[in-house]
Amino acid sequence: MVEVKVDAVRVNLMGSHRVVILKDVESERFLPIWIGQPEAEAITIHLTNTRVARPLTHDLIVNAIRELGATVRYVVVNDLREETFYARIVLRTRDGKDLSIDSRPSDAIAIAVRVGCSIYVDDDIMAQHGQEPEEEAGQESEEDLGAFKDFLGTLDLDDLDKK
Amino acid sequence: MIEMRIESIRISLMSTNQQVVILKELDGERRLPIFIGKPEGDAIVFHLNGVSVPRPLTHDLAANILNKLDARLSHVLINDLRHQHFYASIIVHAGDDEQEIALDARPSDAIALAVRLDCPIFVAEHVLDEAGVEPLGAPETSNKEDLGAFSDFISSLDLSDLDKDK
Repeated sequence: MVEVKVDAVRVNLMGSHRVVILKDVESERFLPIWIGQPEAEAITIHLTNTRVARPLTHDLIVNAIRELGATVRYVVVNDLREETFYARIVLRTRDGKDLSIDSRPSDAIAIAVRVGCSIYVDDDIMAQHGQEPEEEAGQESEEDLGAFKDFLGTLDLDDLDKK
Repeated sequence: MIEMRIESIRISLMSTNQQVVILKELDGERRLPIFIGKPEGDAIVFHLNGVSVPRPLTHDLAANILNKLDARLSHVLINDLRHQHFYASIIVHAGDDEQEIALDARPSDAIALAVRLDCPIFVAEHVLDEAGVEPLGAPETSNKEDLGAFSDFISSLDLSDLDKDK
């Protein structure tokens, strides 16, 4: 399993879908996963410390887990079938038993950011579907390439959208 | 506490992001309209209509987690109304001693869980007194035939009236 962190949540300007970018904590590889708008909001609202008057659905889930004496050990994006990612949430019960529960990656990530647990991606999935960032301009003189890098930066999002 | 059932879920034509769930008193005629977000409305409707999804939706996940942790949803309660927002809690019984735990929730989440875990939905009396809606003058007290067109017209107004209240 490869540990990742939430690097960004991006908006597709063409539709209601969002892309969450999971970046390998030990390299530059990243895995983009399409998620729905409500789940993207559930992730970003928490990451941006937005205050809400009433608990959102994932807050309720996290509160329930906590009140029932369980903890979230980690979440893992563990499968990809027909272009759809699958994930699991691994809980430890009050009695020290581990439970693994089916989830969409978006829900698993929304829960992981709330409890601060690790997020993993299966090795094979990362090997096959992880992406390397565009060739770094760092080896060239930064000054010469400043404008070009800016231009590349603006292309980044579109490239992801086409995948 | 007054037990309610879901009478309908309506789409607000004025805003595609909002839906209205209408709860009806089990032993009476009062309705409680509650505005909810589209994702939560969909979560209720999908389940009630038996729409099957390849991966668990967020409320399926919540229900699975409660089940796996041996917690039984006893009931949900819409217990407050402040600044035009309804508040609710879900009440679960957990462990061998059936310890009762109440968790804060939005009414939409509470209802989406109630339909999945098949538990009753209650509303606090003061909330229904304040926000409950009586049906418009029951036509059965008059001559139905005479008033048919008129009562049709009143029925057609029902939804818009509810929308304007909030």
